[in-house]
Formats: sequence, C-alpha cells, structure tokens
Amino acid sequence: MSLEPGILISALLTLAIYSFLYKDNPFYKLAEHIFVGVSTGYLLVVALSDALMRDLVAPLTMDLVGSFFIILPGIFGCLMFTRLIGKISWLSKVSLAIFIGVTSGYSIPNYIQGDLIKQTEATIIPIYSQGQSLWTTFSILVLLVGVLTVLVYFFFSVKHEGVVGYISRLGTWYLMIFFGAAFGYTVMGRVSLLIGRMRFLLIDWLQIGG
Amino acid sequence: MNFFKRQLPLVVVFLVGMMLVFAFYIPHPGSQLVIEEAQRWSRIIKNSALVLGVLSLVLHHLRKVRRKEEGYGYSLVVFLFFIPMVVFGLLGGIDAPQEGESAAVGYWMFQNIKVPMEATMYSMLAFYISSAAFRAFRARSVDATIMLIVALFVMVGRVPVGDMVSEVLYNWGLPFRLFSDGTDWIMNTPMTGARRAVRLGIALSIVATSVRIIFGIERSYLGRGD
Amino acid sequence: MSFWEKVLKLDRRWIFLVVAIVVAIPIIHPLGLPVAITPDVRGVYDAIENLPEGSPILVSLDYEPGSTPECDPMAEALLTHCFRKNLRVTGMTVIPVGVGTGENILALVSQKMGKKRGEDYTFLGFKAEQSASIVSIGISLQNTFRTDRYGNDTSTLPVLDGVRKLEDFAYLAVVHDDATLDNWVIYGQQVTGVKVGSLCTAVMAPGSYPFKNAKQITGIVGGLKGGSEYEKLLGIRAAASLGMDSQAVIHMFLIVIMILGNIAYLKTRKV
Repeated sequence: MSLEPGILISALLTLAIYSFLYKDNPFYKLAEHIFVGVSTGYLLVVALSDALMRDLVAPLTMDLVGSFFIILPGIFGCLMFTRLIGKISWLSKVSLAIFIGVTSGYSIPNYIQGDLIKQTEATIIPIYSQGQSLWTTFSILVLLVGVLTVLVYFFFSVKHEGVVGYISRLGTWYLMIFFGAAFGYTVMGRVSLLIGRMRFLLIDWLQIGG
Repeated sequence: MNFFKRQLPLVVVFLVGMMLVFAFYIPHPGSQLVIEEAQRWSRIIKNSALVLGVLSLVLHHLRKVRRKEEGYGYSLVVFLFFIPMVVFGLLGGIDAPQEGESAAVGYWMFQNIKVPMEATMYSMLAFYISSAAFRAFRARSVDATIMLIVALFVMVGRVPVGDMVSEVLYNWGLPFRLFSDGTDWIMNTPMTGARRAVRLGIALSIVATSVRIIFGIERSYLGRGD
Repeated sequence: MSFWEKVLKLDRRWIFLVVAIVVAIPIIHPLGLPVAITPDVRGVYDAIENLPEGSPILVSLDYEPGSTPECDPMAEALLTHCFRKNLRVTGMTVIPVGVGTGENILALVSQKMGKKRGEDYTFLGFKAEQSASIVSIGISLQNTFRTDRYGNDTSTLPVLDGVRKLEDFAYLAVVHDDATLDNWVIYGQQVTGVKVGSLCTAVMAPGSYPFKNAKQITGIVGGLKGGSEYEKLLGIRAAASLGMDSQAVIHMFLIVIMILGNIAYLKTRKV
C-alpha cells in the first residue's frame, strides 16, 4: 500500500465518494463539499490569472495607449457584477446584451454554412457512381433514407398517418438504432471511467496487479 | 429610465447581432477587425461572468454560515478548501512542475483532490448504468427490441472479444468480420443518418432562436421584469 | 416468490458489488486481449503520420478532470506520436479546467520525450467563450494569445515560427469530452479549412460521425477502445490497452445481465 500523501488522500477521498453507493453518509457529504471548495477556488484562479489578467490587465500594463479601447469592454465586464446589487442589477443587462448579440449574430451565418449546408451537401451525393461496389451503393441509400425519414418524423406540423405515418415509423426505427448505438457507447464510456479509478486504487494505492 | 432597463438591451442585441451577420459576408479587412473586436469584447464580458458565477456560490455559502442554517458546517468546509486553493493558486501557480522542480501547492491540490474526486463522481455512473441496464432495459416493443439488439451488438463490437470472435468467423469463411465491420457499418451508416437529421434540426433551431433573440422576440435571457 | 421474481427484485447494491469485482479481476490478472484497428482511428493516425517533420500542430485539450481516465491515455498517445515525428506542438484549451488537465499531460509527455518548452512545444492557456476564442484564433493567433501561459511573446516563439492564424497549422487535434468539436468545426474548420481530428470520450463519439462522413474531420479516436487502437499503432501498451481487458469482461457481464433481466421480465409477465 502506498503511503505517499497525494495518493493516500486521493484514495481516501475516492472511497468516501464511493461510499454513497451503499447509502448517503457524512463522509460522502464531507468529500462533496471539499470538492466544491477546491473546484470553485480553481475556477476563480483560472478566471483571474488566465482570462482577466491576460485579456485585460496585461495588455493595458504593456501598452496603455495601444490597448486603451480594452477599457470599454472592461467596464461592461465590471457592470456584470451589478447583478449582485438589487437596485442597479439592470445595468448588467447591457453587458449581457452585448455578449448575447455577438454570440447570436455570429452563430447564424456559421451554423448555416458550417452545419446546415455542409451536412446537406454530404447527404445529397450520387447514389451510384461508375466503378462503385453494390455494398457502397446500398450504404449510401441507407444513409440517405435515414436522414430523410428521421427529418419526416420530426416534422410535427403534418399528422403522422398514411404514407407519412409509415415514413415516420421507419424514421423511429433509425432513431432506435441511433439510441442503441449511443447507449452502447455510453456504457463503454462510463465503464472506462470506473476502470481508471479501479486501476488507481488497486495499482497506484494498494500496489496489487498491473 | 424604463428605456434603459427594457428597450436599450434589446436595441444593443439587435445592432450588435446584425453587425456581426453582415460582417461575416463582407470580405473586407474592416469587417475582420469588427469581428475580432466583437469577439474580444465577448471574451472579456464572459470572463467577468465566470468570476460572477464563483462569487455567487461563495455568497450562497457565506449566507448559510451567517444564518447558521442546517448543514452550515459543510459550508465552512467549502471555505476551508476554497481559500487555500485561491491563495496558493494565485501566488504559486497551478502549472505542472518542470524537471527538478517541486510541485506547487495549487497544482498538488488540483491533481490530488479535484481530479480524482471528479473522476470518481463520473465513474459512479458506471454502477448506475449497470443497474439500469439490468432493471429497466426491456424489449417491450419492436422499437425497444431494435434498440436493445443494436446496443448489445455495439457493446460486443467495441471490445477485444468482439474482434476475436469476428476474426474466428472470418477465418471460417464469413466474407466480413461480423462484429468489427458490423459495428463500423452501424456507426457510419444508419446511426450517422439519424444523427445527421438530428444535427440539421439542431442547426435550424440555433439559427431560428438566434434570429428570434436578435429581433427581440425571445427575451428570456434578460430575466424577469421584462 | 419465484426465482425470476427474486431476480427482478434484486437489491441494486449487489449489482454494484459484482460490477466492482468484475472490473477488478482483469486489473489484478491481465488477460492481454488483442485489439483490432478501425478505419476511424486510422484517419487521425495517418493524417499525423503523413505530416512532414517540423510541421506545426495545434492540440486543443478540452476535457474535464472527470474524463481523465478516458482522455489522458488518448492525449498521451497523440502527443507521443507528435513528439516522435518532431512536430511543433502548440497546446491550448477553450474550457477553464482544461488548463489543469491539458497543461499537465503536455508537461508529462514532453518531459518523458525530452522536448524543450518554447522550441518543441508550448501551452497557450485558456480563453473564455469557445466560439469567440476560435474565431479570434482564425483571424490572428498572436492577437488572441499575446503571450503563452509562461509569459513568452508568441510572435517570437520558435515553436510558432510561421504560424499567424489557425489555417497556418498543419493539423488540429481536439481532445474533448463535450461539444467543443462542434465549435472547432463550425467556427474554425469551415472558415479556415484546417484539417481536424476528433479524440473524444465514448459518450461524444457518436456525435462526431456526421462530421467524419461530411469529411469535415479526418478521423475519430473514441473512448478507451480508440485510445488502445492508437497505442497499438504506436507499438506501445499503456493505460488504454491495459484497460481493455476489464472493458471486455464488464461488457460481457452487462450483456449477460441485460439478457437475464429480459428473460426474467418475460417469465414473470406470462405468470
């Protein structure tokens, strides 16, 4: 068993978290709040040192005249803190408006070009080309049918009955394939995290196996 | 005063949003400058939002301690670890030590407290997903059966056992590697088809919501009182 | 109560215990199961393998501490590959906690491979607001990051020689556990045309396939399996490969209990 302080503390905190699997208990609550404290502190350190210092303070101290216009967004950034003061909290709405405006405005052309058009382009390809195998042709058809039937399924403005009903039913089956694959991958992902922690407890801490 | 509280944010969103939309389509160095400056403003304001988020959490726990609410002892624990993390993190740094250097306290706290605990919390889902798979995943209908079969197939196909079985069957005369190639085909063809349709829907929703925000139809981001 | 009714009413804590034991056994007694390479992983590996020596590569390490068991092995394999090929590695992140996870793995691998900070690699740090950061890097890297995380001027760093914006990088590898790939592709790849590879947790992998199909990314390294395939391509057997033994056993166990649960459901439903 390793008694190196870092490994020992990590192992004990890991076991405290896992104790919740049996039932909720004070050790778990204690570990949870230690985690909240360290996480919040870390986030503040990164926000101050990596973001605010390098984006706002450093340019002003290095070149005040050239970076003068950074003061304006800096002021709007400070206005965000007025959210904590009831009477003047409305001032933060202007800062929020700038942020939302930039994000919303720039996302429109980018999502149209980078997502809608690109994904549609990749879907409307020739089903058959010279020299292409039958299997590839079949696969392209399966993909195309999948995209179209799922889009029909999500079109709720038309009643899903008759021909539309059959098409949306096929779309539902495609979605079930998607959910099944996603479930398989989710299981794989979550189990991988457990394997990582077990390897730490057994190999790094208890020093058995490996 | 009402104009500053209610209308001004909407006017700002409209002007800034439209400016960015037009700047994207104008291939002029001036519009590149506009885009660059707008992104810098957005980053600086987001930085403040990050700090604000942390402050809100700190104030919440401070309130609990001041009023001696139930469980305020745990809030004291939060401060017991929050303060050293901030002090040591800002003074000593949080970077990995170079060869020959000793680890900074901030780095040590991150690597030996935050990382293992967060990884452990996420890993608990493995237990819950196992329990859910046993108790809830039922082939009650055609849809659920399709989902179950595909899930089982992918779970076999994405581990060495699936690769080994596929190799054996391939050597016995099957023209393809059943689980390996089968899983690849499921992921690249029907799954991609369904996922693409969902992506198109999401992209349309993002564009539609952004248009609604810019034109002031969607105002939920401004909070109550608007 | 019949046997099948008892099975259905089993306390879930027994399942938790068995899961823990099933995962632990292959760790204590490794099985050495072989791993097959998939075309998805080959897409990322070959793209990097075909880069000329000294090419600049941007690695965005956008994963949280909770995903380190999956993402650290992938990131380690990727960085080992890059350093073996003597590529100039620039690390960065668009999520706050990526500073800790990303900077740590980059420092560890670079020290193991004997690489020099500033010449062979650097870490730029974190910028808030993902889309804004990516758009800014697409316009000017030096205006976005005037210094790297260690205070060095990015306009004179040898590792960034000839790199002024995103499209100057020969490749962009995104190691992620969230939808950051979407932002890199939509705001970065489609504007600049830079080649992108996705190295992601298994949960995020299905979301990367439409991008691969549309040729917006070259390949996908998904989860611990993807990491183990990448390690095999590099000829090493590290954390990802060693974890696959447990992965195989636990998957088989879960398949058995899922089938068992359904048999129990069908038996009790008839009754």
